[in-house]
Amino acid sequence: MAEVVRITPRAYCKIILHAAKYPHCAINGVLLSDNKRDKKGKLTIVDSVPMFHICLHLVPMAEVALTMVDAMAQSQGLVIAGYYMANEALDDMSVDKPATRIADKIAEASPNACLLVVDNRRLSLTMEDPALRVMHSIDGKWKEMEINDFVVEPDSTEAAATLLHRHADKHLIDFDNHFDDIRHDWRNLHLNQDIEILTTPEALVK
Amino acid sequence: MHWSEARDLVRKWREDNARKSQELVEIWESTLKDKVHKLGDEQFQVLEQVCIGAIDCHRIDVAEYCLKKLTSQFKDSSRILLLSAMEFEAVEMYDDAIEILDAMIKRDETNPAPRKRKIAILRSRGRTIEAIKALTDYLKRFAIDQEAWQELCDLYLIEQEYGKAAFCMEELILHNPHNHLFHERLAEIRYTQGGFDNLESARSYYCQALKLNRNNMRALFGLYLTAYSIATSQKCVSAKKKEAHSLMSWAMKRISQRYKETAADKSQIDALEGLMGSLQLGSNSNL
Repeated sequence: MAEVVRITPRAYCKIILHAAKYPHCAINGVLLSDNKRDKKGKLTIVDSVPMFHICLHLVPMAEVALTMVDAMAQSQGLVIAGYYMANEALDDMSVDKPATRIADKIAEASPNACLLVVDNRRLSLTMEDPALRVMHSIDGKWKEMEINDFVVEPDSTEAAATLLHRHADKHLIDFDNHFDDIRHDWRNLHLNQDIEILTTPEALVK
Repeated sequence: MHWSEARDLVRKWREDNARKSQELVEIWESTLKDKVHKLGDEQFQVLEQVCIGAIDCHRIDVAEYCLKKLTSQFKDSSRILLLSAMEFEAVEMYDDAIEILDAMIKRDETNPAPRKRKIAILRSRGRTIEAIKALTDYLKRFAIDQEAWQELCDLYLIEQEYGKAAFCMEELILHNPHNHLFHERLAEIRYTQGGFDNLESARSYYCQALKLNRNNMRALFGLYLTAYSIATSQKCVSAKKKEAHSLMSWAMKRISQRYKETAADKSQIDALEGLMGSLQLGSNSNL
């Protein structure tokens, strides 16, 4: 099968930085797509929004965060098209029930939605490997995708490695940070620019 | 950085219980390692602190170095034994860690630390159910250990045992009636459980959290959501509906005020209005 899901550096780096900022916590967040599916139903994940690291299993703040992200996405012509997570334990790659509930909800609204699980064991400072497990919903069940069905865009892993070296993870903001102090912006606009420069060297020349 | 500054900083982290492992190991390697003898008796506390930080960052070489220094000073200390068990844990040699911990428990039954490490090992191996059982046994002996109640609450939440998680939070509120975070967390659990009675309970705990700290954003948002759900519930009588509406408008006013005070960025306020707009349309997602 041809490529179905494409993950851009912007979406990818934020996921990795979120996992790196809280190495001792489970984390989650949502994926945004540009909603421009071609005929083959290809999905491009253009951005990601980190949600929580403190308590992933309670509903109220997730409802607030999802509604706020949805409003922001709509204003930019994007849609929530997936969910990402990393578990607390190193070898744990499972998707627990509360996570499935959010992911199912997203899949209801956005067919083709995907679910990313970070493979903690494969994370490293050099990021030679995307360290992601990509799943999609088939008849209401989350199944792992074939390795050829998804692409993490070139330069993504290198950009993530460079950002990790710069300790950029310290400046990543998730919704827990936002609720602790609402001056912190969960859109992480400051990172967008850094990722842009790292992935398109021409941007520097201009 | 001068070594005395480094000492003061590291001391502050130790006293605040801050988990700054990476920074700690960096300071250790750049400044403190060569000057540690100047610290007098405090050096042993620093060595212990750095050892734990190094284990946290998987810098086994640093941990090993600290542990060696400590062992030469204190031959048979249970604090040192605990560190060596943690080092085994870090390299995933769990059986060796458990052997040390069991010996420690045998030697001193009243020492909670090795028992807690054993529960932590169950957790890192993903055995949540066994960890819950061990932790409830532990709490029968050490019922005032608040950290343990909090951990048990988290474990129940993973298992989606909301009623039991709520019990743990109630226990914590009894220990700390003035901590707004516990009230907020209990409200969140009640809201997650759903149903009219739980929503009413959530509302009370959110209100109490806000009474203790009027700037708790999670509680403000939570109160708004809860009051909204109460107002739109079929079980709600009209007097309560009125009360719920006034809570909603109060919470909304406080939230907008907070955003206008701090987040100058207009798009944040737009996102907020989007949130309230979609709720008023009645599309409460109720995950």
